[in-house]
Amino acid sequence: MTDFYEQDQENLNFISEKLQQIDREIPVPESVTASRLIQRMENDEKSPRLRVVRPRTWQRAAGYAAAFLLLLGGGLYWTVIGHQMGKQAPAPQELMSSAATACDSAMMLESAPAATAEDDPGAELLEHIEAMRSYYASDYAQVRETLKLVIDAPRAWEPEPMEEEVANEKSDPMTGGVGVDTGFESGAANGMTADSHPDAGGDGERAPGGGDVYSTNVQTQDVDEADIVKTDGEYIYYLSNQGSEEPQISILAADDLTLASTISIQPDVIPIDLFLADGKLAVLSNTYNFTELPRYALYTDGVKQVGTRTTSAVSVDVYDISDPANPVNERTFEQQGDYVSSRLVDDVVYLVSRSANTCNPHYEEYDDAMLVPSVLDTAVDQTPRTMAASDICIPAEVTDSNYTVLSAVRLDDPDDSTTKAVLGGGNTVYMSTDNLYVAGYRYDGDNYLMEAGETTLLKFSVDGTDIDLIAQGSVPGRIDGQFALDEGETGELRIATTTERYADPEAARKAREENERLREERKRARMAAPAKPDIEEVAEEDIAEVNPDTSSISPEDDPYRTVTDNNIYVLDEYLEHLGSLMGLAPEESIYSVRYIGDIAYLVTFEQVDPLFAIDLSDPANPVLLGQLKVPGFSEYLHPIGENTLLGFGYETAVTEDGGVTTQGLKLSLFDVSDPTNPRETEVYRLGDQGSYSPALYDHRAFLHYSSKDIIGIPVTLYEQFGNNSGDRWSRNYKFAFDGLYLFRVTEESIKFVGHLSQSDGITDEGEIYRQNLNIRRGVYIGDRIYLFSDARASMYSLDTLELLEETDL
Amino acid sequence: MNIDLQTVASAKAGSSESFSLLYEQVQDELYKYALYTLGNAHDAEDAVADTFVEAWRGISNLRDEAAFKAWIFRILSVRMKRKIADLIKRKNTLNIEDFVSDFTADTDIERETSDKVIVLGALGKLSNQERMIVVLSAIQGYTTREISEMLGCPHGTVSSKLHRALIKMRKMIEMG
Repeated sequence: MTDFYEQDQENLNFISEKLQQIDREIPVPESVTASRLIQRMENDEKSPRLRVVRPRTWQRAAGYAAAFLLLLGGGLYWTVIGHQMGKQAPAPQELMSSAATACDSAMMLESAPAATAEDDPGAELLEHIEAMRSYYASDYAQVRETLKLVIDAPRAWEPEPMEEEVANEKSDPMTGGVGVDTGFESGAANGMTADSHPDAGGDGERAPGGGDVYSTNVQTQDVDEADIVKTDGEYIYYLSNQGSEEPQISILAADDLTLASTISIQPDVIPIDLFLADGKLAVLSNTYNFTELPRYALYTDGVKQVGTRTTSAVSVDVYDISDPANPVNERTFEQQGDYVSSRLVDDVVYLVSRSANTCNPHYEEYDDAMLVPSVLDTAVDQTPRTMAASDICIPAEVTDSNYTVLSAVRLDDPDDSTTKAVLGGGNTVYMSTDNLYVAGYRYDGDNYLMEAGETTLLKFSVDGTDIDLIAQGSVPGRIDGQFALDEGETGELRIATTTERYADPEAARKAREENERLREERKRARMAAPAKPDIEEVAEEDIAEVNPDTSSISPEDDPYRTVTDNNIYVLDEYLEHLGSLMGLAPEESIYSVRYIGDIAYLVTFEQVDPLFAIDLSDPANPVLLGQLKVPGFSEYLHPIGENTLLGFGYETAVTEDGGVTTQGLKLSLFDVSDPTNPRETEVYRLGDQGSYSPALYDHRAFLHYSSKDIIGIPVTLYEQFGNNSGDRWSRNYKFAFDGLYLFRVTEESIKFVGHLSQSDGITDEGEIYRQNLNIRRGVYIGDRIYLFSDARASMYSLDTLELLEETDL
Repeated sequence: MNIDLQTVASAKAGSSESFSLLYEQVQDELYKYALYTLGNAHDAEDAVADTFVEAWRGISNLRDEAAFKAWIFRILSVRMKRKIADLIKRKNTLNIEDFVSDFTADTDIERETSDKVIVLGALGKLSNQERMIVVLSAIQGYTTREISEMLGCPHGTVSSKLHRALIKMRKMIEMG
């Protein structure tokens, strides 16, 4: 290793010396002097920058953050559009911009007495929408010019066209995603928002028989999310083997689990999830070979075609299921891109995809139409149609050459659908009853030089099939999936993020300056060196410190070390800053978030799990109410009644060497009747190290039968056996169970009810996996419980837990 | 000389004089770096001019004032990467005339310049990225860590490419 290094140094000196000679004599032309370049800049006719970037930046230097917190603590109030006027005290400079904006808007409102927000919030919204309309492209040329600017902008990091992940799922270690989540924006699943009512989702309608009918555990009440299993109480629609080579959609009668029909799936189509609405089944899939585009490249003698490529699309196949034994595919709606997320409100499906732009806008050989996404609605067209320029939105801040495509499709009216596309966007979708937010993550590659990333936000107002882009905004840091966002009662948006900063910015700065100084010295030394010494004569000491490699510095001493912070930001309805609480639980990351009314519950983790309760009733002034530290952490928080939270996650233990490992799964009941003093009142542990549940990372796998106080969780459990004492290497874990665990959970207690499995008697987990008997979902209808694996559907009595029927798929 | 933080702050605030002052301190290095990478004066001038404009437009976003140099080098690196990536077939040699001021046929000078020709030839045979790394390291003295920041490339990649490039060049130079 030493020889290697010394050899390098030798080579370096040898070459250095030769190059220095040349370097010294290179003539630097007059044309690159500052004065000439300024002149050139002024003379150049570049296309005008389409939009001015509005100052939305947030200073993260510690000094400013502290000052900001102090200001908040001191009780200053920001002017909130349309609400009360507060004092405008001298704010730190970087906050002036949003203050100025708020102030201007307030003044605008005052001078237009007929249309203040208090008199007519609708008018203000309309004004805003009108203003945003100006952001739609006037023609394709404008789109092309914008793309050129984006592509030419110097950025060290290119946003990748989105890969095929099932979006809105928390990064799941079992499927190879990033480990226990540190806030990737494509992670999603935990927590629910309950608007102002603590008990949200999962309730189901009344079935004709009088019992309750299962519906997916969703974030926003009345806004359905697509899932692999749906039911209307009479029939169950189930997508099995999703993501594998042979997916299957089965339609089963709820009474006796007889297979009424199956829906065949074409090759080149990968089904993802289902929606059910009033006699229609919507199947969402990724498809390939949507359109074909030529591919061009630049050679020394011009641009030539080098082949073709196909685009992908997300499709909604609409089936008429008025006769479930004979589903009829009556319509297919496809939009270009990869699936991001979807929602269903009444009978309108909202579909979000990410469409990568891989055509270089500089090449005029690409038609305008190829730079813009396409859409196909078989109810209307035979072939895909390019979107109109007037449906392409170029927001104020464009940093991304990929599109987010959003469509609203009314399932039983082919004439009623809308599609809009925006340059930019992201992989996470949150929908309240009226608005749909797309959140993305933008990371300026200069991580060492500037702030780390920010979460970008696009807000669309949604009313049936009317979609309007309302606002664009951003906040520092990453979010932990869709549950990090919540819309409050007055339309403000709350968002919890994890940010990164230098542990010691001073040290980082000093290290950089020191390196700079050393560099200058080395350079000076080389320039002054006498000509051509023999290699053998280079002294030992000269080799040593010439090019110190900093990779061997230990983490604690690394001056460039970063730490994490956790924050809550509150933005107004136009995504302008209202208030924030920053710097929670430094060095930890957010593991789950849940908003209940005006209180945000945040779980962060490093060695213990603090549960934070934050009061958001005054949007300008979020206040930390209380915190609770317990071992382990919750990946998912679910409200029970008005005063209780159920946390589902891992138990942890500190190891001998000071690290932390996860152990088994844990259900915790938190009494939050007094948010200033959250208490853990009950704990139920399942399994030991190695145990897992899909509900940890996907909220849709969590079953809540609220009218019967039943909670169901699919789990795979490992149990410890053998030597319990001694060091951890002598303990052994073996597979114990796969199936659904049922609990009766009230505000007072967690009581184990029983567990159901399709793999009773099989002790080899590998065998269960091979037979596809791992339980994915539990479903309830009346007094029956149903289990779904990729191989089988089974039905049990909720009272006796006995098996009533089963059907192989 | 170290970049004066006051000047950076003043440039951020919008002073074109301060910005020009800053730029002048790095002007030669920027140009030469571009020249080595792109191989000819014309392209190098364009790259530097574009970098100048982008830096001027974006300097208000520079949060860490001490990082001005690395930041502007970063801009130039990215610009050049794009230019290089655009061309599939590119004559990957350096235009000697742009590197040597007086290319005469005098015997002594001929020997010296032919030496330079060999070295430049060797440099020209490296890939663009290898060349950028060698230039930043061997001529301008940046550490591999700093280079990885500038090029947006993992540190390990920079170290190993540098290692290989140095060996390659040395072989080529020694063999003439």
